[in-house]
Amino acid sequence: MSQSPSQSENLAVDIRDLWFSYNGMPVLQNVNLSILTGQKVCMVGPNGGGKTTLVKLILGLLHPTRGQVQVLGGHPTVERKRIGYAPQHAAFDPKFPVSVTDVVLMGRIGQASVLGPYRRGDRLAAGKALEAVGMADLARRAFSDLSGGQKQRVLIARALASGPELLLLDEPTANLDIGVEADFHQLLEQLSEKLTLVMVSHDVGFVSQLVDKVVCVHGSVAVHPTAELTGELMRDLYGHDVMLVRHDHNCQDHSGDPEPYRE
Amino acid sequence: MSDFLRTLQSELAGAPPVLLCILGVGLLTSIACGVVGTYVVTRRITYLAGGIAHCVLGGMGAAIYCRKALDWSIIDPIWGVQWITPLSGAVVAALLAAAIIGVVSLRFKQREDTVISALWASGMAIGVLFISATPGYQQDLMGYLFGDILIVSPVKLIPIAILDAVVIVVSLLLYKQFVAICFDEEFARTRGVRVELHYLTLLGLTALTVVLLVSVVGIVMVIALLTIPVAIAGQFARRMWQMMVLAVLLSIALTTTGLAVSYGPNLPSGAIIIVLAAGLYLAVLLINMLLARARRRNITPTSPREAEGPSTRTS
Repeated sequence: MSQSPSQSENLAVDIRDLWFSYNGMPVLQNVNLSILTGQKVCMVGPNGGGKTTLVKLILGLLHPTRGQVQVLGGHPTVERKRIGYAPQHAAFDPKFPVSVTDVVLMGRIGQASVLGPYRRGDRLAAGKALEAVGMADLARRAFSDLSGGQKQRVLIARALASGPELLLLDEPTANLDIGVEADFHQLLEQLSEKLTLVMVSHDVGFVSQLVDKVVCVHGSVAVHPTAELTGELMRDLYGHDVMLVRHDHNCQDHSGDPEPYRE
Repeated sequence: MSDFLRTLQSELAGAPPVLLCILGVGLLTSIACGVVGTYVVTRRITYLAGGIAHCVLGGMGAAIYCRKALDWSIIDPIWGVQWITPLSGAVVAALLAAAIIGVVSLRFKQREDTVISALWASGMAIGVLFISATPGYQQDLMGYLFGDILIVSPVKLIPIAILDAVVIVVSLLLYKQFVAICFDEEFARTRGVRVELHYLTLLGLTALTVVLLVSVVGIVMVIALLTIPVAIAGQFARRMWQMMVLAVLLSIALTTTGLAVSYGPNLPSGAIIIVLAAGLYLAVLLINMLLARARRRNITPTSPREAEGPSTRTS
């Protein structure tokens, strides 16, 4: 990524000297992270390392104990309506009575009129978002009848329905069938052409060819070039705290892929 | 049952509409019950609803005490309405309980159930004390606890209708937000929905619905009528509004049948309604279970033999 002169305006996410503790337990320490507009970034790290916490700080759902978070040039609670957020699908009541369209329409709630039902414009936007993730033919199905991968796509459509500038995906690849992974990879690649994409994953092998930057979250931050993204380093990274690994697009065939693609 | 039909016939022919009023109350409350019950069940706050219901007794007791023992009927001439009644006391107590429980559940998530349990019992204790301090009202206690829809009169129909209208209009106007919050509160927050405000509104609507239902089945059985029709509807509905419509229809059917059954032999109508509801729920669960088992049995014996054929089952 080239450094533009007006860099601060081009920052989709700008985190400075951030500390966060939960019930007195430090979760994140001295985190500095900047993501440029249009960049594709993946956060990796062990469970409990603070990935989801970092996502929630970016969304303004949590507030830093110290330091500051700027998103799309402003405070997260103000600017988060310009963020499309897709949480992990496993977190939902599996029997909740909603259709696929109902779920995607929830993404329109900020733009829709406050009282009364969704309008035609909302339905059109929801339909387009479903098309973008290749789920338009399942629009009338019950959300509870879908497979894990389909649910994940619907949640991404819900995130897209508001026309976001930044797409924030929490574990989009969790519980995916192996056959679906390639499709999913393609979908994320298409989406990220127009958007800044930040996703959380524990599967570095899946994302390393897709993203510009890999952020390893385990308490704090350090920067590493992608050439060092080897299995050995990954072990090292997980032992260390938070690290940043830069990826230069030319290393698809480098031999040290940390987690070889599953067969 | 035949007594019920005969009375109904004579009232339709022009006799004073006592039974019709009772059925009207059942019908009105069923609508609020199905709509709000669906939110309560999907948002999983039935325990909160139970707490609110039991606090209602405190308000009813206080109202009776103020009216009879302290003779606070002086403000009645305003608009010619009786202001201090068990119903108005119930509304105040329910809304107050909803506000306290709502704030507790938002602020002190970890101790939520403890605080609700404490409120649940204290609300009842306060009600019992007030009623015992008011001479000549002990027998009313049974009516409040277990429901006595048969004492409903045309005058009482008006406040019930107003409450019902408020609950239904607000529930439907904020349908989008409530569904979004019940499904995924965090996402709703990122879309700019004021989650706390809507949550407290939902609890307020729950409180008013509880008051409506108290006149049908009584304090103790409110949660059953709020949740069982919705639970049955949940076995069939695929979308939130379908669940609401189905729950309303079931609730109307159950209250009407319950009244018809209890009318002749003079059985407690609230208890009959709940027993009918629970029986129907059990029957639906059993039938669904048997159907699922039959479906599985149809698949298993044939599948090994047809293993080489093209599989029709894709999941």
